[in-house]
Amino acid sequence: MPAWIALLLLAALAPLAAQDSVRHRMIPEEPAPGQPFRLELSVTSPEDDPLGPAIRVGAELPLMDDIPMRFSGQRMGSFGGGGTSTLMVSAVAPGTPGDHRIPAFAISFATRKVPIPAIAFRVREALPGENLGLARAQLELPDRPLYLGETVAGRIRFTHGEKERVAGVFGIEARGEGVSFRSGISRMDGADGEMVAEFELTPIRAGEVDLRISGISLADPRSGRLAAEMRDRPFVFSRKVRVSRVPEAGRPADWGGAVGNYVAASLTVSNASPMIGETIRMTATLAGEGNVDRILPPEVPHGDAWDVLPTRERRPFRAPGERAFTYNLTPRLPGALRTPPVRLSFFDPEARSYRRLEFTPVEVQVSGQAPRQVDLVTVDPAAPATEIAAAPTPPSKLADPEPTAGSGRERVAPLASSRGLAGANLAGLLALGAGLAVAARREWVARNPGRVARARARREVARALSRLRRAERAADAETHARAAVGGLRAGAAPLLAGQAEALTAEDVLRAAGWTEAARAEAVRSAFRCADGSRFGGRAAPDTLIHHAALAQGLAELRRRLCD
Amino acid sequence: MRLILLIALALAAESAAEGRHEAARKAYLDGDSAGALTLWGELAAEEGVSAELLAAAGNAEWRLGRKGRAMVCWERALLLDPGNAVAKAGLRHASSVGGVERPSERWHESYAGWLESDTWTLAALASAWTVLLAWAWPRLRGRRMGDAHHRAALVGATLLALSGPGLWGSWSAHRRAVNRIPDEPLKLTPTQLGEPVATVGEGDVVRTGRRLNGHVLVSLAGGQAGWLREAAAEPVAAEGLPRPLDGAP
Repeated sequence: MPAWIALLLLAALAPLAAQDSVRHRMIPEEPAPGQPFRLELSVTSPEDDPLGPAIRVGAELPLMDDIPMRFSGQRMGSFGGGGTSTLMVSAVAPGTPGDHRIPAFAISFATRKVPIPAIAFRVREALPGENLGLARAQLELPDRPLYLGETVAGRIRFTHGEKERVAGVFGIEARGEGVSFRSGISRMDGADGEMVAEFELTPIRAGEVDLRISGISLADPRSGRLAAEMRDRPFVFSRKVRVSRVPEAGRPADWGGAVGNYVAASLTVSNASPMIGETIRMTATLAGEGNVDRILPPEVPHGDAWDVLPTRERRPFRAPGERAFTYNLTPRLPGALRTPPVRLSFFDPEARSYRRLEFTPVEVQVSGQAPRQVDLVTVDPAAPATEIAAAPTPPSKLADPEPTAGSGRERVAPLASSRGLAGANLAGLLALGAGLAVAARREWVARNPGRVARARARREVARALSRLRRAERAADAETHARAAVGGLRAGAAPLLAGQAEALTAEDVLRAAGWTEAARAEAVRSAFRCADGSRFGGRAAPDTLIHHAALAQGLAELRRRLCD
Repeated sequence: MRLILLIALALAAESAAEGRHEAARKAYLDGDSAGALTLWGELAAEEGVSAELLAAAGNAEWRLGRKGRAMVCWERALLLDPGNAVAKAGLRHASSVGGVERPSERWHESYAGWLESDTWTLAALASAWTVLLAWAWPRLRGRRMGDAHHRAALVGATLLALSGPGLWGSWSAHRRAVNRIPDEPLKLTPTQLGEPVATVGEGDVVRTGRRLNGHVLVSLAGGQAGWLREAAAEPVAAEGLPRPLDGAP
């Protein structure tokens, strides 16, 4: 074999020789559904390349809802030529029998990261009558959308099993970038002494947040044996929570980030009977559930009777769920004064609305005399002392007032803002506009008499046509003839510049220019029927047979009047 | 008999009020500004305010060191009576040596100061109606405009042109406010945590604009613009004495 081939083989096999080997062991090998088991991961490294201690195993173990795991210790030793590091992990088997799998992950040691291949294992069927009697853990969180910046009080409730009881809890932590987590106290609660672990969550990112809370409980077998035989019970809870921003609609201008449900617990003053100018301390204590540590102190403005200066409270959190705000007050006037109002707006996540509370003011009896005159004249502090001493007396001063009785009842609001004045002027303008419109119409009519007569005749012809059709439908020949003659006269009158009542059938025919015999006969027949009684006897009412010709004639007349 | 009784009662009431006015003035001159203010406050509640009473209350407030209330009283007095000497002296004193900043008057505001704002309003209305009626009346009667109509329209138009700047100045003078809170921040944005760009002293007068989110857009005497909390800025154009800050929402 050539030398260069041997060198290549050595170079290719060198990494394999230096590779770490990983083995695992489960105790028991086939756990029952829900049974705790221990997983031992042994990593053997080459002799000349030690691993060192594992540094972040707790954070690198995969988080699975059905197989909670917690790192519980590391054992380092040397076997043969290589160094072996054994990591012990406490876990709980899934509740369903069958094949299960822990996905591949990696563990960081002091010198390098070692990949751990996926681990397959089997959960056996529960035996008939088998009862493990294990303790159980249950997560309790508010069943509602969470809000950015609020402090959510959560708890994990541990129920004792028949064969073991939970004696302690430790290592509760949350993974996820969207929340800030703070573990609280653990205590016995309820009639049967259940263990409750409290914690606080503060969402710090809006949107859907994956929340994973894990920890270990210590289970004490109900055997009366020593506490040293307590067993680790890891638990993992995985939830998706919806985090919203606090709504902008209806947000008070003085809202200072308070989210929760609060009450004004108390308002106290350090001295209830100060002198004028003597500073006293006012403490407002807020109580309730919420983000008390994230609230900006409510602003208390200077009043007419008080000078207000905010101050730093030395112990703002005197009790859980309480927050104290402190202010320095200096009275300006003597007498019985009430402390300035302290108001706080907060967002109630349960009601999903903003609310406001006000601390009940305290009465303070201020003694002493108001100053005769406060010197409000300013002096430039940067001016040299000689200039200040030599400064002339102020060139201006207040004039002596002389208010007298009966001079009151004046209004500051301008007359221009009066609605009554605006309404009266608007009404006047409308009336003037209406009057001008009427005058303009009258003038137009006077200037265009023919157009007015035509318009009037057009309306009358239209009405006659309508009457004619109704009479034809009712077979009322007399009304039919009167309607036809009325319409023909009204339509022909403006064309001849004559009086409608004076027109005869021949006048109508001449004005309309109708020469056809059928239409002329229809017109004459209508006139005979309508006006016959005035000239020695009415003709028979036969105009209904000329209805089409008469209606057509009236429609034509109306069209001509539009030209 | 009943009329005589009513007149006697009215005279007695006026005499009593006159006595209280005198007592308030005496208290003021004796240096009891708080006592004088109490009496003037009671009289204002019963009778309403006048320019004289507001100016006097402004003096007493100034003596008690309450710049903001004093400036509101004086500014309000000048709205009622632009020539009130006590209020003018008070404002001059506060501006010259009291450290209070007040926007300088614009030409139309100085012009408007010649008459009361209501007088400008009435003059403008009367002149506008004169012009309108001089033009419309002959038309309503179907006639042409005569010489008298032309003269009336010309006079009305002249008066209207003269009262225009007065109206403008009055409107501008009404859109002002006084800052009531010492060292109130002038904010860049109308929000609680808006970045402060300047500090407004108690009693400083500002020109006001639109309102948003519990703040009002203002411009200071130096021309700087920003947002001031509405609770801090008391409008000059309002009824009565300055509002009590302790009960402000």
